[in-house]
Amino acid sequence: MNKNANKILEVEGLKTYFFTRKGVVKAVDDVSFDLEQGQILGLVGESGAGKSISGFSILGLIDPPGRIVDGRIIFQGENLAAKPEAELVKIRGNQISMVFQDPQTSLDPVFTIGFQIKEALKAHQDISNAQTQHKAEELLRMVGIPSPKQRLREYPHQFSGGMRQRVGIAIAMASDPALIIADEPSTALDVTIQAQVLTLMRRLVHQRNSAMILITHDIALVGQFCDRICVMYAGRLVERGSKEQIIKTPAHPYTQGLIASIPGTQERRRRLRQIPGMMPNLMDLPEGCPFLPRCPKAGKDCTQRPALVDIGHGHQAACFRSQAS
Amino acid sequence: MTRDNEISRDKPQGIGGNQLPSATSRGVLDPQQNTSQSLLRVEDLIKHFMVQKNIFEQIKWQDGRIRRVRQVVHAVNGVSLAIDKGETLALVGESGCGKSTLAKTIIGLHQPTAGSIYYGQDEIGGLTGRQRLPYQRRIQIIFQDPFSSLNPRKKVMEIVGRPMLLHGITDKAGLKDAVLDILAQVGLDASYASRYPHQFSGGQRQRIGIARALACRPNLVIGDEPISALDVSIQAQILNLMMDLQEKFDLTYLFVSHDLSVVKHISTRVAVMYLGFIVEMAETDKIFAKPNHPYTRLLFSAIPTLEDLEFKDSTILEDEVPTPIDLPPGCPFHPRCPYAMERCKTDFPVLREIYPGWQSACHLNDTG
Repeated sequence: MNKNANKILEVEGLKTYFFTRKGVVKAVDDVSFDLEQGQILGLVGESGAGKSISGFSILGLIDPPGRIVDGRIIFQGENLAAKPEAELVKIRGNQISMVFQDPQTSLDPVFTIGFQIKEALKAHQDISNAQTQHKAEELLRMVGIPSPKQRLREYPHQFSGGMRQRVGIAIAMASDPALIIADEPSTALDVTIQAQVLTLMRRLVHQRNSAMILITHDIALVGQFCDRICVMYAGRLVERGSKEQIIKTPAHPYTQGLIASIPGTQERRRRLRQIPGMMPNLMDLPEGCPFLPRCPKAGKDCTQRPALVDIGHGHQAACFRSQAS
Repeated sequence: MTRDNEISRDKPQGIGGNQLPSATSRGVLDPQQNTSQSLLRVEDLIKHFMVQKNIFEQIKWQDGRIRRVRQVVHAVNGVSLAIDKGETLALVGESGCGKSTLAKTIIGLHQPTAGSIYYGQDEIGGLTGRQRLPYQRRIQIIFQDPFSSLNPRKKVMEIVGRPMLLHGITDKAGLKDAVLDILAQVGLDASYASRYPHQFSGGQRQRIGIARALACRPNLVIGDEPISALDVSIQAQILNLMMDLQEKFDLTYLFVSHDLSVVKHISTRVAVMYLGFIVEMAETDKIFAKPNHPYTRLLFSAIPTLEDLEFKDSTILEDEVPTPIDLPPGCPFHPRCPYAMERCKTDFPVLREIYPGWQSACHLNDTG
């Protein structure tokens, strides 16, 4: 208990499956990670890797036919996976909040920005109208929106994409959460705006000593803004470690391939190193290692499922090859 | 990306004037000097859109009286550029800067408001319908979203084969072979020809989109963000395919993208757009090594790189792009520019050559 005093979140052996008519989709299969106060964890992977479902599982936002089959989600000492919906409602948007990918669709176009921020404030706090007005202005100012009093009366369409995402962040911050889950918060934004928004989020996490899970497909982005990185592939966690470990000395062939295939770091105008093939269908995964069909280093033993094991200094990889060397 | 944040007002060493071999000798053209050799040339192209499209939308009740409101989106504001045979010209900029509008105007999906587009010696900007057809075959486009750009009711055979029939590349008898041949070129199996788009993954769909673009053997292929909708590990595959095909078919690319690391890899020349203006244009290695325009530097500094993991607590500007409805007077970038002078608020900086083959539109280049 003492050792984990500043651990905000511990996910252990999380399994989220979708039971569809065509078969069982193992969207998240035995995923474990943890997060300390003031830390930003990057969850990287391609679409379908299970990174968003991992985020939704923490918030209990998995709808049927999906279900958390196994695993524990320990948030501030309590197991969220075992909690009934009635109790999750009190945590969701209060102690854990979420920033969504598309600021266009996550705000309601028919209500003012002010209404939507105040709604988030009132949902979990017992405060007067005058106080909410004051607090809402403060939140907008905090996320860097000028003349907040006037802006609160405006509708989402009157905001630009970057501004809308700032509003999304303000709503997520409304209840001063201990954990923020940001699902591709900057994917819909331009590079210059992306840098602004992520800088803001990082600053807020550090100021308030909360923690953040940044879900993204952009490994370069994660290298810049996160402290630790988890790489997911086909529903499994294939590698995790500090950002230096993952970016500078990737151990899993998938991570290696991903980093090697990023243009801009290689000699210009030459063929890029590419990972052949594509991610397997989650309903029809190969025996053993899910990366096996695309892996340049695959051997006979890879038909066994590799466990995530430590390869030094907290750097872990799920690959027999990385363990041998 | 930016090595130094100071604009050097003296002529910088190393990339200064005469030390460069002349641009034309390496097959890269200077648009002002040698226009006859370029494949496609755009001159003072302007594309404006009306916000209120008709009289019913224009009439508004304002301040107690009826007014007619006519707002104009200045999407492209007098762009001139030349694309040379065999090169890959990248068009970069933030969303709303007019890069896609420019690409779509070139291919004829928009009619230019003013200005000319020349294919070789022929003006094609004003052509429509049957008149345009012979040029249409020469210029093709790969769209951003492989999910919405393929007709879900048509089989791959029809999607790829139709342009071939339309342009008389092949007759009905030879169609099947021609389609299978082009599918093989983009790395798709022959059995895929009888399938529908929904049966493919994003990467495969984009290959179909590329096959369709190549079907009528174009010279110029415009890629409008062709890989940004794809997964990271698939992006490299499609980029490699595009580079292979360029070599094999001697293609010229106009590559529209906001992803600067991709642009750095694939392009030979870069044109940076801001609010419908080209603010800087130069060869790729040079512009990335030493961007001249303050906007180019801002853009390049925002790219996350793998080399530098240190978090930079923002040298980023807090402001966002102004709307192309109300363009700022003077330099379009002056409200965000850290080096803005009095002059920038009133005088429009003309895009001019600062070194051979390198153009920039900034008043800072005039001083010193």
